[in-house]
Amino acid sequence: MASARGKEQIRTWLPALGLLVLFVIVAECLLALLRVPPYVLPKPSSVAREIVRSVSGLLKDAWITSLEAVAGFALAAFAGMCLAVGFCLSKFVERAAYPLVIGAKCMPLVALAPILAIWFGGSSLAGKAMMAGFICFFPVVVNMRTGLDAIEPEALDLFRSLSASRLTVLWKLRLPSSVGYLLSALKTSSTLAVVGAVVGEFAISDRGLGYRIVQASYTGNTVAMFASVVCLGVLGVAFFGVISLVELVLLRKFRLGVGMPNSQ
Amino acid sequence: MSVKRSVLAVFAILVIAVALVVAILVNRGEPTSSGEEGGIAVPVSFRLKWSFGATSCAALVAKSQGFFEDQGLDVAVRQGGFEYDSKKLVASGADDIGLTGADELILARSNGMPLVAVGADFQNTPCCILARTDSGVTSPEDFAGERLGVRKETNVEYQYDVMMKRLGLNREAVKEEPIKFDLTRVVDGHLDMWTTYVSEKPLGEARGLELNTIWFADHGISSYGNVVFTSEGYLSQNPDIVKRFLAAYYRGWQWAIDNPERIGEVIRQFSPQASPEVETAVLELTLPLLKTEEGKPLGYMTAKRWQETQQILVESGQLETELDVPELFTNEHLTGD
Repeated sequence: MASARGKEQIRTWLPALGLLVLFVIVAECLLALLRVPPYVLPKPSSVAREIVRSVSGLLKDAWITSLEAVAGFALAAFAGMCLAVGFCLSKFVERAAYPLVIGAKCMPLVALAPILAIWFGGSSLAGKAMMAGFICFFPVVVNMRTGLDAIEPEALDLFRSLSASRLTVLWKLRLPSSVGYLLSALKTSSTLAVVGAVVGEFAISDRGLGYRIVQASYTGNTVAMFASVVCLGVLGVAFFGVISLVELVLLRKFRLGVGMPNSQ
Repeated sequence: MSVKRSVLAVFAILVIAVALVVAILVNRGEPTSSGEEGGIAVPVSFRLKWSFGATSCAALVAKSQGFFEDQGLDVAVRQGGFEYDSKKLVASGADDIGLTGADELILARSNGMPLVAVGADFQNTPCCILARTDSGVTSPEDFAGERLGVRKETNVEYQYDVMMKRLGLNREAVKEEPIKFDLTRVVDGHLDMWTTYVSEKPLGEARGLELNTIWFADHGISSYGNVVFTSEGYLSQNPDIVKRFLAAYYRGWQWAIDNPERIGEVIRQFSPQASPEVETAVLELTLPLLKTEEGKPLGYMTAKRWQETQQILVESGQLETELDVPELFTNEHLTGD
């Protein structure tokens, strides 16, 4: 059983790893062959050396960006879920607030960043967390709202026939059915939270991977920029992986959201 | 079998496409050809450090007054910025000549970019701290306990850091906060002062602030500011074009020195939302920085000042290994016309 599961894991991850290794080899060879200057596009080996050289600084800044992304993600998840439940319970609230939510989503992030910096100050985690939360709350609202309505009509009839209150229907029928949709949105939001944290750091910060990228750009150090970008990619993948693991546990062990999107 | 062949074919096409894109990027790095052909103006692209404004008005003046045309050049003056880094664009050949900070040029060279300065606009640093007059701050000795907005990882921060060290003052006694270009936290009283350039004073005054200037050059900091630069490849292949460009460019600065009240109308040709009054005020604060030694043309550089500029980067920890100063600059193409 364990070896079968292990083989399944290898089959899942091997193609992606293989493609990554192939891409790195092709890029290394092409960039060397064409003699592309490192300040235009550095070779993967140069980026790897820079990562090793600056590993402690990168880890420190990655931790800062992670905190901002996680805080923003948590804020977005909580706010998004509350909004979705509110919309489900009251059509009036939904009709009034949904267009405002959509409008807020359309606001350009780079315009919002300096405003948040003014409100919260440049050093604070709060401003960057708000930025991360702002960018990733919309998928949570939309997906969970859809999930709350994705219940079987027969099940709803049964609850009503037993005189179940709206809150009981919400707690025992709608919320369990929305878990698959919610988890799908959280996976999308996990990577968006990293983007939001970095945009906040671009706008104003003195630490974090986004700040490192700005710093490297000022000094013309393209290799250092790419090292930070690679770390951001790893951070995004790790965050996505954590949410996927939570999804796996919830869907398999508790059979929540069975029959819903992404349930196995 | 046919599915595998299709996958292989798609992969091969992707690899070839990537190789073509990279080859195009590399070929754009080739220097442009030199020489004027039969009286046709030679196209030159010039990338500013930031947006159109009084601190970089020489090229705008030269373009609008026809100085570039007089030299047989068709110059495209392009705005710089975070997304349009003049150093990278000139190093890669996307632009021919650029404007950047002297310290940035040193750091770029230390990272492999083959750039060389051909003229210095600002003979000394424009970096300063602007403090609200109601804070009572008039010198670095007053900084302790005050709230300072710091533009992080820019030359203002490095020079502030070195100035404090050289004066024996403790930077940790200052309540620092990172800021960018918005002055709201100064205007609304959350900050007493901020690190910036002398040219920003009129912008602060336009927001209702009364300001004291603590200019770093008055406290032991000596550094070139903006410099005109190009790549070694472009310079070696087009020395005459660079010479003619600089002749027109510094003629533009001379015109600005002689006609400061008209600079607003020039800038508005390129940036319609510019305020003539603010731009003239900015220019009047900038002009003293252009003054060279007696008898030397505008833009003239010395090894001593370049060494001082580099020394600040070493003392602030930005530069690990000093570069060979003579390789950083050349005065050969300054005509002094």
